[in-house]
Amino acid sequence: MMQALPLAPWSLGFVVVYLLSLLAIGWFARSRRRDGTLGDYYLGGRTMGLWVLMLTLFATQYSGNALFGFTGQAYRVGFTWLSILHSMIAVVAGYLLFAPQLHRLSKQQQFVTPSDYIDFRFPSRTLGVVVVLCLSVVLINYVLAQLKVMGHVVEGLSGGRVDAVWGVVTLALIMLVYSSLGGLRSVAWTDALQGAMMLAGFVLIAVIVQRDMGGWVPAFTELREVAPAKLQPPSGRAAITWFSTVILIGVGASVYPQAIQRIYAARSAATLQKSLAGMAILPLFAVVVVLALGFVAIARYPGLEGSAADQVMALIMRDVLATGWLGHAVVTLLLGAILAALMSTADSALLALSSIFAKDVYRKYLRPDASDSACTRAGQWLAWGVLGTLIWISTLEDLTLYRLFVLKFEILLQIAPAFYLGINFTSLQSRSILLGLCAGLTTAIVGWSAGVMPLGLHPGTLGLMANVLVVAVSHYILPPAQPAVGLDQGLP
Amino acid sequence: MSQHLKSRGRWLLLVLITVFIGVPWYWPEDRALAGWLIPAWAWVALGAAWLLSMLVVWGAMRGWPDEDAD
Repeated sequence: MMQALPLAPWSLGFVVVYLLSLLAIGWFARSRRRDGTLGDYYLGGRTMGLWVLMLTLFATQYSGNALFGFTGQAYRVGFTWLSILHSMIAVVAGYLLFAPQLHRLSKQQQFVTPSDYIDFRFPSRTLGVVVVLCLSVVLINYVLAQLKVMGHVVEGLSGGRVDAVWGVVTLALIMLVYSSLGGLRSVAWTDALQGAMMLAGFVLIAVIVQRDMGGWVPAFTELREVAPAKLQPPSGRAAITWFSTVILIGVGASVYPQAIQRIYAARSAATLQKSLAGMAILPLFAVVVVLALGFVAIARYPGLEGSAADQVMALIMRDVLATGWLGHAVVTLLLGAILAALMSTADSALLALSSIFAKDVYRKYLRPDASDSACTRAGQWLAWGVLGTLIWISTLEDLTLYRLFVLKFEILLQIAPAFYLGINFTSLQSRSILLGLCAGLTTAIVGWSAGVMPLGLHPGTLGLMANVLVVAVSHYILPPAQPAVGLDQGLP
Repeated sequence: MSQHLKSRGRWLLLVLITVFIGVPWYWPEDRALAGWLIPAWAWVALGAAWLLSMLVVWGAMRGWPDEDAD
């Protein structure tokens, strides 16, 4: 459970008002819906502007993991976790290798789900099914991770008076209502609110640490004396892990299904490019503050082991609360941002899952003649069912946040070649991508199950290497089996 | 298209070099903790992150001429 925080009644009132405002955003977004098409519901009518797009991409990438998992990992491993800063910037570098072309293609072909691109570029039923299964597993994992943290946060907020399960049920219900009402419009607008709150919270907490908690310089000086081992550069093996982390997260997070859908939803290529430019700068503020908090916590709260280190952010907030009214206001803002981060990440993933079911399963296999409205309703029902099941599962699992965080990348990374290579290499064929995907998945899942990291490489990174190798070898060895779909037939 | 790939290949190479600069595998052990406030290797890693960020901003903003029109 998250550390109980001695919050004033007005802080809790702020959180309640914030949650109600999400419902209001949902109602407003519903009034802005233009028609009942899948593109209007799941992509907000493909009209997302610069600031909303940038903040929703930011909110999608920075979930509950960013606040609890990143600080916890910084506490556990020390300065070698600086690799996460490079990783979060690498995500945007990854986007630049395929997003502009994918965006244009999505406008031409009216893509709604990531699988739409796969089906267009690689017309193979088997590949389509494998990709849908992988995306579904990743998205379910993603939602589950957020639900677990939601439970901890609600317990902490209420000082243990509200059970984690009831907290999750309440938040999930609010989330479902507003996302069902407005689709991606609701989700993106609440994301934008969350992103702004989170950025403001990061700046203010940095000010509080400097002003009321002894300052950053004494905190880092104490850290050098108390825990010099946490300041050591990575050894040879750990340095390989550093590079592997950058690949794992940089490439994996760039093909988040919900992020792919935001690429589709951008109003124009120029909007998308400016948003990505902004996204490349944000980690320099957001991630640096989160890491710095995790580092100074090493000296301030010694002795936390394993998943207990994920409580570091809560401990810091408890101390910030004690600094006075400004501290109270900052913690209130941060709690709102944390709840928003969890909810917006979960709702984005759930909406993506719902769209995949509606378009790639319901319409493709169950009711090919279904209207867009019927598909949307089917997707909404699935979202409710999946969320109910995951709430139950979230009470059973016992993994640290970081382990959950990594698990999804091991799978997601194997889909990346279909986007990165498929967009840029026109003659690449379905079976090469399929063979590579199978090789990558097998390597990653076997490695993850066995808990091994040969040479310090994550199983997902090893899987990606196997994946790309098999794609390249099969592409050059196997004779052409079908005319290539690609640049000549629509890819820019 | 091939021109785009060549251009993007050069840009990607710069990105990879910058990422490698950020990986402190080369730092001598006996100087591991030297540096003001935080170890010098961490300053180098932070500097590389800043450079990487600017490189990505540049990569995003220079555009792809034949892809700008919607």
